Amino acid sequence: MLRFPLVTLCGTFLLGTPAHVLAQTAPRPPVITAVTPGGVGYVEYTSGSSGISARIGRWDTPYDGGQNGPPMPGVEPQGDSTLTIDVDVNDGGTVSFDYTLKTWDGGIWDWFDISLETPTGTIKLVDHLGKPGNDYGTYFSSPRVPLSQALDRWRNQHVRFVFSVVQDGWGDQSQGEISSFAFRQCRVAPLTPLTDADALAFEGGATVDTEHLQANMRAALDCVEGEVEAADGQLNIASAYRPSSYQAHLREVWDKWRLLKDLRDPECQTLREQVRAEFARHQLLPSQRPASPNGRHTTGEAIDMGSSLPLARFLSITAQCGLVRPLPANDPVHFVHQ
Amino acid sequence: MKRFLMTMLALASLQWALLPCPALAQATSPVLVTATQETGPNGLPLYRYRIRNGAQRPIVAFMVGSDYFHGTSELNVYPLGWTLENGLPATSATSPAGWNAGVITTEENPYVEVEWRNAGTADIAPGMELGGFGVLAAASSSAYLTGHWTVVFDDGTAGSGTLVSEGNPRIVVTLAQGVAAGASRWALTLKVQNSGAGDAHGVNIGQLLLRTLVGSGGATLVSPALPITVGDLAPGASVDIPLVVDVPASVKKLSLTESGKLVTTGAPSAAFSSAQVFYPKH
Repeated sequence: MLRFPLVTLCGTFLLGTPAHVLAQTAPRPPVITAVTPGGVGYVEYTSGSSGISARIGRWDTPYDGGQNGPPMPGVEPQGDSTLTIDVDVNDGGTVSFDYTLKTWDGGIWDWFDISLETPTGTIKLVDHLGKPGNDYGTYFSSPRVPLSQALDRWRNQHVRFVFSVVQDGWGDQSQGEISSFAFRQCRVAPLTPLTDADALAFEGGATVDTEHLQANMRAALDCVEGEVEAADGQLNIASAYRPSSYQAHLREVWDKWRLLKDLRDPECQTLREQVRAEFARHQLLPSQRPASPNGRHTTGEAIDMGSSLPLARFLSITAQCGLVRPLPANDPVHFVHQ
Repeated sequence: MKRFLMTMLALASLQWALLPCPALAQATSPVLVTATQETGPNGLPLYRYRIRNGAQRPIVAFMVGSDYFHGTSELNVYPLGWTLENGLPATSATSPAGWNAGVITTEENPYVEVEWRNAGTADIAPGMELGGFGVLAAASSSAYLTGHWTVVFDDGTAGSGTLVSEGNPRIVVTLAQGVAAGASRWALTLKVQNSGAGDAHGVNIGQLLLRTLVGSGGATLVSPALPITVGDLAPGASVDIPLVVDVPASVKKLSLTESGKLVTTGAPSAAFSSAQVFYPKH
């Protein structure tokens, strides 16, 4: 009832308004004016419906020298791989994206910086993200961390986001990643789309994969299945091999639900509902964070399982078949080879 | 299925492992969390926490032993009586009105964190301080006093930092950066931080020892000259100190040990000491 007169009034107002006033009344959102890879190279970026995603730093050769091991010449650049995103702020807005780092190096040698260069100075958004500690040569990946930045105080000015991965040339590579860089109301970026075929198969429901277990784990599982069946029991396998990208997805869903669970801000309610549904669909537990994307499930070295037999009997069978529970207090369904 | 399996299996012994090294700083948070240790029932350690929200948004959740930016949990001494099956006993955690505590585990990982949430009635507003968070631990553990905290704000963003000790300054020195600066020469950066809740004045490093841990020969400090003046450090503040060291190729691993002095509100001459391990990439 009220809507039509308001629209009419508004239309009348607009028709009778000079062009320069009209321009002021229609907010001009921020605009990306340039995306520029630089430094020592090894930067890839894509632009899609969810925003800009990029990989910064060379990542094609695992470091096989072990902890604090020798150099691997020729596989890691020395210097910074950089990506800059230039923005005309116009009438203001908020940018949000996720970032993560994976590395074989220690945080004193390789790290990921994100800064915002503005007319009033440079703001460090991420200062020296690296692997904790001084050891190098072992794998580390940070979680996918949502980051947002309001740009309103630089209205009608130009700002530049600078993403920089410092690499020391030793051979223990590092790569920073950003995803879903875009201007949006919600300060939390949406879930990263799954693109890996294996991960998509898991997402489609085929979540128990024993085919990709290591040979010793497959043999142990055959043994457990036979023994449980002989004891008139039923074996329940919840999970075995999981692709790393699927594991990363599980962790991202859990981490984002942790952020959005008690959301009071109305801006992110749509995303909150999407994440809630994904959390429920994967039957994640609020009190248990999924393993890291380089955990033992992702290398085919772990099985989550239980049985209808009494626990002591079941543990006797698994031990007889060469399987143990490394974390009975924290993760009692998790079995690995002895 | 996972929930079914977890409830079906009984629990046995706890696993212990080494704590990860302290993480380097991310963007500074305007939230401050102070930690104190008291003696609880049966002489067990009772850790108490107080949050000062200097951010622009209300805090809706709070975690201890949670390094948000590196995605790691830090507590391998569990709250007294906590088990996966039975949860956190009411007597092992204290909470301000409207808040509830729980334990968060990570799959394939022995470390946990303690989390407090509220149902929307007790958010910590900007500018507000709130205490009353506490954990009765099964044994003493420095991670409850010097580990990381994480908070979640009402808009779904988060902050994280290092716990600070209530009352006094606490000088912590970490190795922040290493760059090859020539044959057998390294440019290192030490980060000197006040992780306590009191002001530190006149901080200086009077002694810096380089000791070979693996290999032969000895490393030498080229610059700066000792003593190194750090200056005043407010709670949470830090200063980067550039060093140049010569490390012969025969030295595979060495330690840096700094000792120094500072002035605090209660002590005109307090001392601190800190050490790091360095693997030169020859």
